Parts: sequence; C-alpha cells; structure tokens
Amino acid sequence: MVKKDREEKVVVIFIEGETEIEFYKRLVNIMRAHCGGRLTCSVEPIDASGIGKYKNKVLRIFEKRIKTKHPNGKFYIALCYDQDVFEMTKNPPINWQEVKRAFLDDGATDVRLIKAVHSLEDWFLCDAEGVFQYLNLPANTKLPNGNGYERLKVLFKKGKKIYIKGKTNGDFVKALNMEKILLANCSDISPLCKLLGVDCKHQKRCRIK
Amino acid sequence: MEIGLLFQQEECSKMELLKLRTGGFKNIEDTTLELSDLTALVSLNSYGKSNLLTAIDFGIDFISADPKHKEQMMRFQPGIPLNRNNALQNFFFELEAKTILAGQSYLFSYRYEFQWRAKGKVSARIVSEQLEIKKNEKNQRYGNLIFRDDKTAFYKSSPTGRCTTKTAIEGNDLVLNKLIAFDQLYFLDLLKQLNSLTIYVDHHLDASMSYGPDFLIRTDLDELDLVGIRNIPRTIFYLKQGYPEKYELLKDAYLQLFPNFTDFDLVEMGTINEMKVKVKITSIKDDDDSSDDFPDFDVCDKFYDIKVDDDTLIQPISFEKLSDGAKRMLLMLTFAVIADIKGLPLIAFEEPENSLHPSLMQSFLLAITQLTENCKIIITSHSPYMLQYILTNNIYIGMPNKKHLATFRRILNSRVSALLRDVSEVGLSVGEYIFELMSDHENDIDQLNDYLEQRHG
Repeated sequence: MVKKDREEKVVVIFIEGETEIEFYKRLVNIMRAHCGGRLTCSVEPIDASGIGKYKNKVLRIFEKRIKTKHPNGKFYIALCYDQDVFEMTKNPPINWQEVKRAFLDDGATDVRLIKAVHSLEDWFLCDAEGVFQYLNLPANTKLPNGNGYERLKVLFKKGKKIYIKGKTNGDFVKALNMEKILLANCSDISPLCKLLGVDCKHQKRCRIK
Repeated sequence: MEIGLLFQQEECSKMELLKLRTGGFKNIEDTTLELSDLTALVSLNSYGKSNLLTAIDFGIDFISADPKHKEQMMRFQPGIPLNRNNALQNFFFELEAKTILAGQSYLFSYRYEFQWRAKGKVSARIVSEQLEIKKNEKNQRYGNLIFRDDKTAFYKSSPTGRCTTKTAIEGNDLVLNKLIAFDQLYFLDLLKQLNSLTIYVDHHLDASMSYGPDFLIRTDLDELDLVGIRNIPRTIFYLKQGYPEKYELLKDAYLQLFPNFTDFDLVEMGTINEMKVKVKITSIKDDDDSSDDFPDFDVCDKFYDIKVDDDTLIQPISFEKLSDGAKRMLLMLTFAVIADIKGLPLIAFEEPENSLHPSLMQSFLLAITQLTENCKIIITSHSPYMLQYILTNNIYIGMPNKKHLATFRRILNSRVSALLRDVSEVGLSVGEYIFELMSDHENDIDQLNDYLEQRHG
C-alpha cells in the first residue's frame, strides 16, 4: 500500500508593491521569531502588482507556481490591501469578494482579506521615529495633515526623497520598528496571525511583545 | 560663468488653473477642460489632441504677446480653421483660475475672442474681452473688471465702482495689456499675474537628441527656461547648481523608477573657452522683419554628460548610451521639476507612454505628480495601460463625428459607477474598454456617448 504524502499547510500572502512585499516579509519574520523561529506552515509572500487584471494574475500564480511547488499543499490565502482608494490606482477597482470566491473555487481551503485601515502608510507611521530616522529628519518633526499616504509623501519630500507607492525601496521598510507597528495594528493584522497559527488570545492586545 | 547669477528668480505663481475653454483653432470645436492634477486626452490618431494642446499654448501666449506679435498670431496660417464646418471661425480662449490677492482667495475668469486675418476679411482684430472676479466664498457672484465688445472697452477703476470707465483700445491689443501700465489700479496684481502667465507643452516624443553634445546656448532665455532647453545634461547641471534640493528629488524619483541604476551624476566633459563666438541666425524670409525674432545663441564653454552606475555593469555608462525610454523619462521628470520651480500653472506631455514599459506607467504618474506640486498636468495618450491609472472622470475623450471637428468631452461623474460596472462585466480595464468603444462601430460610439457630458451651448 502506497503511503499518502502528508498534507502541507501553505499560507500564500498576496500583496501589491515592492515596498509592501518587503513589509509583509518582515512581518512574517517577526511572527516566526515569536514562535521559536518556526511556523507550523510554509509561507509564500507574493508581489501581485502588475499591469493586467489582478484576479487573473493571482490565480495564474496560484495555479502555476504555488500548486506546483507544494503538490500536497492545503492552501490558505491572505489577500492584503489598503482600505482607502489612492490616486493612480488601477481602474476598475478590484472586487475582493470575487477574487475570494475564485480562490475557493480553485481549491483554496480558506481566504482571508487583510485590510489596512486606512492604508499601509498609516501602519508605517505608527513608527514615526523610524520614518524620521530613515529620512534624516529631526525626531521632533511635526506630522503633516492628511491620511497616512499624504503624510508620508510630505515627509519624504522634506527628506529630499519621493515616496512612490509600491516602489519605494526596501531600505525604508528595514528602517521601521516592526514590533511597534504590529502592536499598534493588532486587530487589522490578526486574521494573518490566525492563518499563520500565531497564538493571539486577546483580540485587542497582541501577545507578541 | 557664475551660475548662481544666471537664474531669473521667479516668484512661484499663486494662480491655480481650474478650467480652460478654446475653439476656432485648426479643427478644434468649442472644447472645455476642467483641470485636475492630472488630466488625460484620448482619441483616435489625427483627431486633434495635439491641436488642442497647441490651441491652449497659443491662447496663453497671445495674452502676453506685444501688439506686433499679436498681429502675427492673428494671421498664423496653420491655426486658421479650414474645415467646412468651422471655416474662419473666430479664435476664442477662456480660463478660470483661483488666486490669492492681498491674502484673500479669489476665483476669476478671463476670456477673449479675435477674428483671424484671412482671405475675404479686411483685418484681424480682437472682438471681445472680459475679466470677471469673485471672492472664493459661498454665495458670491462674478463682477466685471474688464468688459469689451467689438466697439468699446470698459474697466472698473475702483473697488466700489462699476465696470463703466471707458478706455480706448486698438484691435491688436488687449485691455488686460494696456491696464498693466496703470500703476494705481486696484487689481494690478491680478493683471500682472495674467500678463506673465506661461505654460509649457512638451513635444519631445523622441528624447534621444537631447543628450548628445550640444554647443549652442540661447542667450535670450535663462538656463531653465523650458522653451530653450536643448540639452538635458546641461539643464540638470544648472538645476543641481541652482536648486540642489530639487535635483535630489529628481534623482531619487528617477532611481526609484529604474532600480537597476544605483546612482547617476554629472560629468564635465571639457571646455572651449577660446571659442566664445556669438552666433546670430538670420531669417531667410523676406516678407517682414521677423528676423529679429530669431534667438541669439552663444557657443557654450563647457559640455556635460550624465554617467549612470548600473549594478550589472563594471563601470559607469554615459546616459547617451541608454534606451529611448530611460532618456525620455529623465527628460519628462526634469521638465516637471523645472515647471514646478518656475511656478508654471500647467505643463502638458504628448504621449508620455512612448518608449515606456507599461509596468513603469503607474510609478511614473505617481512621481511626476509629486514633482509638480503646484502645477496641473495634461497628457495625451494612446495607451489603455496608462489610462487605467487615471481617475475616470479626469479622462477627456475625443468623440469621432461626421464633421471631422475635434471636441473633447469627459466622463460624467454621475456615470462613473455605471462605466466601472460595465467594464467589470466585460472583464477589461477602463482603458481597454474606452479604446475599444472609441475604435469600433456606431453602436459602440453611442454607448461611449452615454457616459460623457453633453456639449454645452
């Protein structure tokens, strides 16, 4: 009798943008570190940015790359995005429920929507000190008005840089204190914690400290 | 050459352009553009996108031109409408803008109309002009500051009076230009803003010629005057000298768009101090004295190149050797930075997608709108990829019609959700959908019409 290969839990994190993928990779590393260096699943962070239709792209990656790489995978999908709509975002906007249904039809076990309220830039600014340091701005720099994205654009300009959403390089993310950000946005991030099997017993206060 | 002394330091314009309206130029029919930070014009080829940009440029230039140039402009043969359906129609131009005067925000509207000089018409002349203003507050009504018809012209001489002070004006001059000499006039600041209004329309579809060695410098313009820029490395050198912070922003934006380039810097290639020769290009025309209009050039005393560090190469490479897309991108970003420095209220780019990979378009738009903080941008485009990143109601569509006249209309705010629903149903992007409807059958044109604002008048 041929022994059936053991099922493997695979969490696939789809996020658009180079900055964003770097951020989520760091987030997963923090979670892994707090689980003794080992998660009970494989994690695949995927940059889903592109010029075509989002749904087609992520499903193609899922089918051709992820399923091939993990033939015995039991797939949990995290679709990460900003709740706010930004300038120069693709039109028409992504129908997240439609994408979710498509993944379930394609064999995913569970699909979670990880929404940054209001945007990932608001999360970044939870570590304003780190942002100021990266931009060589004084620690007492006043935060400008507006949403996180607008604030970050203004701060970057003060630091003689341009903030290009999805494009600003990974060095910026490396300068951020991820634990601070994680704690400040626990409730938004908790669906991802659950997918990764990170024990979070309190909804509002994360145990990761 | 002491670079710091060469710049004409310009006060940033306080004017924000809100709306432009023009017509009676080439095949342009009455067209209104409500400007957002980024506005796009799309249409089939040879429809009139470039003509519209030229008409706007022409309309703004006309305001500050001296009477002699105005006369020349009013018989500018390539601009005269020749289509049967708008032949010899008067040129008209109108702008609406917001400005700050003595700490108070105002909205104003300025328009003028002239008759072309053409066969069958006695002379070219300005036939109407109007300047209106109101406080930028609720329940305010426009009041005239200047009003002129075919025969008479009036202006408002005091804040409490009415627009009834008569003034004599020639047919080749605007009241706006004449009143600038009235030192005590209470709306002189506004007149100054309008008389110095400048925009820039970039036609560099091919940027490759802008990077090679170039030894001529126009002496009638300052180094960062967009009209006179012939060589991007030299321009960036001046930018670095005069506005180091803006240079850093430009560099950062560019390196983010091309992450395989790790750095770039300017290199001085050599000097030809002994060759300082003044060159005068004289006109070969003999019909008038327009030879005076040809610019003076100097032979420059230094050459510049931009060297790029590429992480895949063992040594820096000259910018001249880079791809067309890489060159054009730097040109457009440089022009945007300069437009911002100069306080231009508007800059336009023709088909920025040329030589640009679609994956760069979104980042390019995000970068260029940040570099031009106080300057509106108009682009023309044939790219569905580009279009999908532009707010749907900021897209103006040139609708094919049987008259072969060009008029651009935008997608109605109230129809945006219907359009997005239809787009989603057919599984296309907004750009693909619009181009498909524009290029297909009559039914599709009707469908497209259904999303657009109706023509005024």
